[in-house]
Amino acid sequence: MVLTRRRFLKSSAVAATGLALAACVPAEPSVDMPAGAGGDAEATEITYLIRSDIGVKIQEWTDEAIADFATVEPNIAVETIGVPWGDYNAKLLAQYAAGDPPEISANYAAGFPTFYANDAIVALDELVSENNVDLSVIEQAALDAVTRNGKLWALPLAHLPTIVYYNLDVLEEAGATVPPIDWADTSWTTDAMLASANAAAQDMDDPTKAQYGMIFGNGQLGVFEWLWGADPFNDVGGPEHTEAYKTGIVTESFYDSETMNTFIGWLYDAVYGSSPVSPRPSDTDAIQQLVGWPMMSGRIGMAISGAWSVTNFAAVEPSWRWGLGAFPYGPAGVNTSPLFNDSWMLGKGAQEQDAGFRFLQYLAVEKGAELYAKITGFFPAHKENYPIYFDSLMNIPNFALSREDAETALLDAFNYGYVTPGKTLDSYPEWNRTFNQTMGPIWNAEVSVADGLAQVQAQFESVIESKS
Amino acid sequence: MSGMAAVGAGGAERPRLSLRWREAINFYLFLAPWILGFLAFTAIPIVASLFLGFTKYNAISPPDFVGLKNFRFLYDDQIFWKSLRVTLTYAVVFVPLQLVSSLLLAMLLNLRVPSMRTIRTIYYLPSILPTVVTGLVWIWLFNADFGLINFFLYKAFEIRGPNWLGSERWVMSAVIISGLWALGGGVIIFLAALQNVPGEFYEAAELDGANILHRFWHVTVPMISPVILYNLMIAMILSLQVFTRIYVLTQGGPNYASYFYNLYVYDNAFSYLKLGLASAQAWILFVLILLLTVLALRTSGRWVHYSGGV
Repeated sequence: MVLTRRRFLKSSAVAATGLALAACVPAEPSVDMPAGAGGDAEATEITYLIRSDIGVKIQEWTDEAIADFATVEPNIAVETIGVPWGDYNAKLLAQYAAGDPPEISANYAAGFPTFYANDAIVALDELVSENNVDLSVIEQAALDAVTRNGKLWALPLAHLPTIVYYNLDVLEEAGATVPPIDWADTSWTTDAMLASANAAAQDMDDPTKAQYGMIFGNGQLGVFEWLWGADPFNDVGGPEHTEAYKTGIVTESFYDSETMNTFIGWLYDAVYGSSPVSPRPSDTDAIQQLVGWPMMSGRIGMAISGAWSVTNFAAVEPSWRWGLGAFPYGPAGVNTSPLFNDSWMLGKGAQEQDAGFRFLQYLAVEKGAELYAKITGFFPAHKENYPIYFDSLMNIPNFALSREDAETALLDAFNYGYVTPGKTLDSYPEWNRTFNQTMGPIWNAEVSVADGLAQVQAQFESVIESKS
Repeated sequence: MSGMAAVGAGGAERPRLSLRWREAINFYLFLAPWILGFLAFTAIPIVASLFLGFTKYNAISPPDFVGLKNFRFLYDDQIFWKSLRVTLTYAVVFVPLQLVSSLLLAMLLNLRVPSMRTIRTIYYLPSILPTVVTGLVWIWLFNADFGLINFFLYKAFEIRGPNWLGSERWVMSAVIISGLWALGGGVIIFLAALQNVPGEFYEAAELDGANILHRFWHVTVPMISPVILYNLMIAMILSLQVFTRIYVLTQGGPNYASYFYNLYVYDNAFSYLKLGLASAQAWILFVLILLLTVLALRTSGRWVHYSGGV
């Protein structure tokens, strides 16, 4: 047959149409198959949505865990989809909307409470029981954080308290008090920390040379107010009095309370007061663009952050000595540390529930959890893997604590912690956006603390009303 | 001899389609990829979003029809009005600035000077750089303490520059300045239009005693007025849909001072799981853009000159 121009064009058009149609058909997933596992039985394919932007270590763990899982369960093939935090929700929602949710996803972005509230995840109790999964190896507080109405809705891999990191070289040179490892040490207070920060702060007038005493922060939605004996969502006391943390539903807020004014005023003075010790937001932004987490600049005496920030030290390997210590006691005589957990969920409506749970089980209580503790640098929820984690921690250069002290500083934290709102409230991203937007004028010194908090409260009331 | 004609005498000859039918089939065959793509990725989602605008939908559960509730909610929503106000303010200031700047730049780039091709390429470069990357650069430039802009203001005029991105008062100026940097698209269209203005028109005007301003106003502007209209409509539409640059620069802050409409649509859809509400918002924006476009077209008869008299 002669290939005329007309025939060529016609064939091309047919081929293009075919390709367009083929593009509308769900693609065969690129699955990670075990070496030598191909052949007889057809593999069950499951989808696993991972975060692609929390460092190479998570990717390394994912790859190793999937490769090892393939040797354990050669008939289950895992397809991974990597998306950054900002796109995690969008991707997950798109998959739900398409009626094809991933078997396994993590509680990033909107998080577990939102997916629980929207009936998008599977209660795991029956699967746990059927598969004889021993949950006693997982930190109970981490399990409690993903339990609602007596049912377990996710399996935690990481359990992370909020702690104080410090630059030992900076503090020693300034003769400043070093944060203790003992969480029961009531002499370590917010005032003591401020005094220590004052000693360490230098050249605060010149942002190009300044050495900052501390970066304290306000905690998610301002919950460092807990140290002042209050909570943004009740007018009685600490987080234990907040019904919203149990139900997930926010019905009231108290951002204009006297206690919140005192707490935010204290933070404000640390930046703009007569003896500033903390960087202004624009300085923080600049340092952040250069080194990521500002603590790694080597110009910060102390910084409060979650236990995940250990991964920064592992990645940067600072040339200065560093350590970690207990959260300070606030004026209310408590040092309640916000607890974070990273838990993995089984998607409701996902096609391969059993295979999905098998993989979840592998990640949370089997070799996957061991690899997680070894590779990622995130504090594991699996108690038997604590030694692996501490082995890794001790290998980070210039870590100034003994292994025993590091264990005390991190493990005791759980006795003083309470789960952070990001892991308990439905629609957390909306509350977070509301808080961050309305706090801006205060942090940029454009309004007084009292006026700013009145605006925050008004906006929260508006959102609460819109949700009712 | 064609294959069709070579079919053996004993076999039944395949009926030949008429030329008209063959051409029609070929026509639709060639169009099919585009039509399929348009249906799958544009038309059906548009129709679906209209339906979703009347539902409560979080992508996880099936949509629940709620009638006009989403639109009533938006009517009472302060953030909706604020985001609309922010977006319209930006458009009102940015669009004329962009048009004038693009035209002036195009006129400069239309001069006959050595190395003009290289200069044109350099001016177009910002338009092809990823918005995320340029956004990060702008964050540095606008930094209150370390930024080059405040450094320049201080060194040149001893002015302590504002906290551009952290101040409710200044953030919109910062957003507009960062937008004006990438004018390449509009400039290139203006440049093409300027080069199509016949030289004899200018010669005739000059003979009649027209100075440079007269020639610009009475020759250049009328001759390129269809392109001005085109650039006006494109700039208007894009400025009402601005998203990526704001997402990188300010995240809508502080205190919603740069919370553009599309940022709120995105948040409602993908952060807050309110896809029904976001769809309603998208349709309100669509209607708004449609009205403004129609308005621009309706009034264009008074100031747009088509050489063919159309």
